[in-house]
Order: sequence, then structure tokens, then C-alpha cells
Amino acid sequence: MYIMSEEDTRKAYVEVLAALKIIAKDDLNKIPKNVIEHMAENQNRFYSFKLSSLDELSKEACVILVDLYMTYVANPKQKELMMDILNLNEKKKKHNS
Amino acid sequence: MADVEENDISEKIFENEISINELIEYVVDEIFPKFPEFCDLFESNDEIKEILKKRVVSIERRKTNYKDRVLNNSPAEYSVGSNKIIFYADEPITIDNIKNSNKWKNIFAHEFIHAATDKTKSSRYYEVGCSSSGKKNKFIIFKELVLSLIFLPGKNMMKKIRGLFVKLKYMSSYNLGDALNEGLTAWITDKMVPYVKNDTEAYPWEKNFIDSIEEVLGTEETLDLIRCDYKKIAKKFNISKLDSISLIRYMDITSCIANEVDNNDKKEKDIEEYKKNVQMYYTFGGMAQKFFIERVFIPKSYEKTASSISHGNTSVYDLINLYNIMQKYKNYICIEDFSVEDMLGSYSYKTFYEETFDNFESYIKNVLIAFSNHVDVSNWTDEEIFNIKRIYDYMFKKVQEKSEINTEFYKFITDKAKKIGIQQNLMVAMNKSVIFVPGSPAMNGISFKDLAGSIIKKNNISTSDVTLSRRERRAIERENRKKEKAQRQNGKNQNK
Repeated sequence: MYIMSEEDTRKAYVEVLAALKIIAKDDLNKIPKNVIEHMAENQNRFYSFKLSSLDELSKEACVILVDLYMTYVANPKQKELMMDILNLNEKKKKHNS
Repeated sequence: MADVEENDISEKIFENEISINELIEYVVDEIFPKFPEFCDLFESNDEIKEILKKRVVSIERRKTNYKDRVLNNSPAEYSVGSNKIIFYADEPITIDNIKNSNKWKNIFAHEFIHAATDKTKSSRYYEVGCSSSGKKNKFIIFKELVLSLIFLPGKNMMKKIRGLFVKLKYMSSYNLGDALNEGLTAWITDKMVPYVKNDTEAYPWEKNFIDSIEEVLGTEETLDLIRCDYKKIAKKFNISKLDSISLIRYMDITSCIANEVDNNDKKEKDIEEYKKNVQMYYTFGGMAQKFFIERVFIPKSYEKTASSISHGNTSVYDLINLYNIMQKYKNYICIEDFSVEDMLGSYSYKTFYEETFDNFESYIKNVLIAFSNHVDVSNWTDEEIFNIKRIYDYMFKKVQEKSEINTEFYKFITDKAKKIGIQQNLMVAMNKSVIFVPGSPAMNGISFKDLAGSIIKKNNISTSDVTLSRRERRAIERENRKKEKAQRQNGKNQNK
């Protein structure tokens, strides 16, 4: 388990916005404008990030992306499936610890 | 304006206050001779009179406040269905009134030209771009005459159009670009919009083309095209004024469709008729595109890339952009079913599509040769190498003359590209300068579902991570809002 600092979030916003650029337009249109605007306004402008591989995304950014997908893009079935995977990962974590 | 709706019912109608025969005699003998191009379409004045007497059975006067028609600059209309000319005036108008008023002369001349030419299959000539307002009456051009000039391939095409306008004395007060703009806008709006509205692919097709133009020329230059400023365009692109007018004509059609696409006034039964004209439309669009791509698009792109090479700039984005645009062009111009031999003789749409595309390819080949000979690739990023390799692959398949392209350079690129790996291939395609290979999934971006799925698996993200992140972000957002409020209050206090 980790706790996000404000600075982490601001950096993560930069990465998330970079990742959203490669998303299909149909999916992107489902995310409300104000959510994207909020990230754009609050991103860390001194942090430069160029996405060339998924491995480069920080965990914070990955979490936000998954959250965005589940909240705005996924249909109920897809949400269920995602929740199953998330729960499974949760169990794995507990088991390992 | 023609085609009055049959269910238009005015408050008060005054019929046959003017003698129709007298009016026809006056218009044909006194006004029409001022339009010699129009009169030349008929054997004699008597022939025009005969046609008019059949097509104008009655004349109606309506009150000027009816549906604010006068405010909309439509003081008269010709109704095809009922063979009527309807005009809007509060007081009765006599032949003497018409003789003494240039406004009424223009209006009746315009409506009688409609009556003599419009909607007749036998008639070879049409009149377009002529609104009933006195000012716009200057733009009378004859549709098919202009079209025949446009579709006739040859050096003298624009000279003929210009000659026509000089003869009609329109050059003195309005430029030719405006006149063509007016005439062809009316034509396309009239004939094509209902069809376009019902065909979901036609609008994006036009939109894509404008987007592509914007990518190469820039927004300002594209706007100049749409604004029909032919002098500016000629200067910017270093082409003749006549050529720039030809460009404008095409741009006008696309912008007109974009603006009028929501117009749903036309009846559905008319759509079949419009569909017949779509072939002509594609022919026109295709020819204008060919012209545009050969004269402006390719030279302009070449200029950009050539200058970046000569300045030792190793960026390959210009070439990549060009390749992307070419692929887009290939997608939307490939309408091979539209054979237009009736219009152009043996010179078919397919022929000029192929010619244009060949030009495109030969241009890209030249740039690649320049790249392989003059550019130092040691500093290129993986992404650039990968993209250039794809362009090379494409060109090697299409162009048989491999010897022209430096094969050592190609081998070097290929070896490097292999190292980039399969995963990189996908991610490179995600960047701004992406090469969209037609049919590839990257063309429309990556689905959020795939991205989220692979992220969850790779990073082992769990339920608690998501909920925590959400809580944390909400807390941050709340704090931000508080800060903003506090700042606003401080500002207010200071103002007080």
C-alpha cells in the first residue's frame, strides 16, 4: 500500500495526459471535459514526460488511468471484470504479505 | 430565387395586375440583350418569348411583410410547379414602374431567366448564383457553361471563364473569385447538400481533406483559401492569380458543404435526382483536388522538408507527416466506381486519381533519396528510425527501381528497427508523429480497455490502490478549492 503525495499526483497528471493522447477518440470523449481540464490545470508543468512504453508510467498514473476507465468508460460488465481483477490482485497482495 | 413551396399561403394575393405578355415582351426585348451570353443560348428572341409564355402563366403580388421575405432579400420568386412569378410589393406595379426602376428590372430579368432555363432537361444551360437582391444580380453566370469550362482540361480553361466575366462586365466591381464563389456555392448547395446529408461518409471525406490541407499549409493559409482572397493565395503559394481562383473554387465547395450540411429543407423524393448529380460532384472535386495536390500541396511539403534537410536538421517529422497525409488521401480519394467518361471522354476519374497518387509517391521517393544521401542518422531516435523504415518498406513494395534508393542505408535502418522490438512498434505508433497504416488498429488510437487491462496486469494494481488514490485526489481537490476560495475572498477584501 502506498500513499500519494500532492506532488506525486501532479506528476501523475502529466503522465496520464500523455497516455490519454493515444487513447481512441470514442473512449476519450466519454471522460468529462472538466476532469481533463482539472488535470491539465493542476499538472506539474516543470515535469517533462514522453511516453514511449507502458513501463515508463508511474504507479500513480496507472492507478488514475484505471480509475478513469472504470468511472467513465467501462460498461457495467467491463466494470465487473475489472473489479474481479482488482480484487484478485488485492488477495494476492495480502497473501504475499 | 426559384421553387416557391406550393403551400405558401399569403395574407393577400393580387393576381395579374400586370399584363404578362407585355412584361415578357419588355423583358426579352429590352433587358435580355444586356446578357448576350444568355441570349446566345436561344435561336431568337421569339423562341425565348414562346418558352416564357408557357412557363409564366400568371404573376402574383403579395404584401411585403409576408414572412419577412423582403428582409431576406427575396422580393420575387419563380414557382416552377405553378408556373408563377410571385413578387412582394405593397402597391400595384405597372410596366412603367418597372421601366423606371433598375431594381425591378433586375428582379424580373432574374426571375424570367429562371423561368426560361431552370429545371428543364432539354435546356443545356442553367443560371446560378443569382439572388434576387439587386447587388447580387451582378453575379449571373450560366451553370453549365461554367461547368463545361471547368471540366474541359486545357490551359485556356481559366481564360475562358475570365473572358466570360469580362464580357458580362462583372470584373469592374467584383473580383472573379467572389463571383465563382457565389455561383458555385449556389450550385452545390442546391444540388448536393440533400445528398450529402443522407450520406454519412461524404462530410468526413471533405473534412479530412481540409484537415490535411491545414496540416501542410497552416491554419491561416487554409483560411485564406476559404475566404477566397485569391490575391493573397497567389502571393503566398507563388502561383498565378487564375490558378489561385481555381483553388478557391474547390475550397468553396467544401466549406459550403460543411456549413449547409444540416439544411433539411429538401424533400426526400428529390434525393434520387440529386444522386444523379453526385457523379458530377465527385468529378469536380477530384479534378480540383488533383490540381491542388500537384500545384500546392506537394511543392509546399517538399519545400518544408527540403529546407529542414538543407539546414542539417535530422528531424523526420515532415516526411512522416507527408506520408500520413498521403495515406489519408489514399483512403478517401479511392472511389473507383465513379467512372466519368461521359463528362471527360477517355480521361476518367480513376486516371487522374492514379496520376495524382503516382506524383505523391515519386515525391516521397525523392525525399527518401535525399535523406539517405545527406542526413546523418546516428542521432536519430528509435522512433524516427522505426517510422522511416515503414516508409521505406512501403516504397520498396510500390517502386521497383530500388537501385535509386541507397540500399546500405535501408539495411542499416532495418537492422536498427529490428532491435526496437515488437512492443516498441505499438508504442511508437502512439506518439504525435504516428504513421497510421490504413487498416491497422493504431489508426483510431488504442482502446482504453486494452490500456487499462495491460496496466492492471503489469503493475498489480489492487482495489485498495484505486480507492486510496481516489480519496487522496479528492482530498487534494478539496484543498485546492479551499485555497481558491480563500484567494478570491482576499481579493474581494483588498478591493473593498
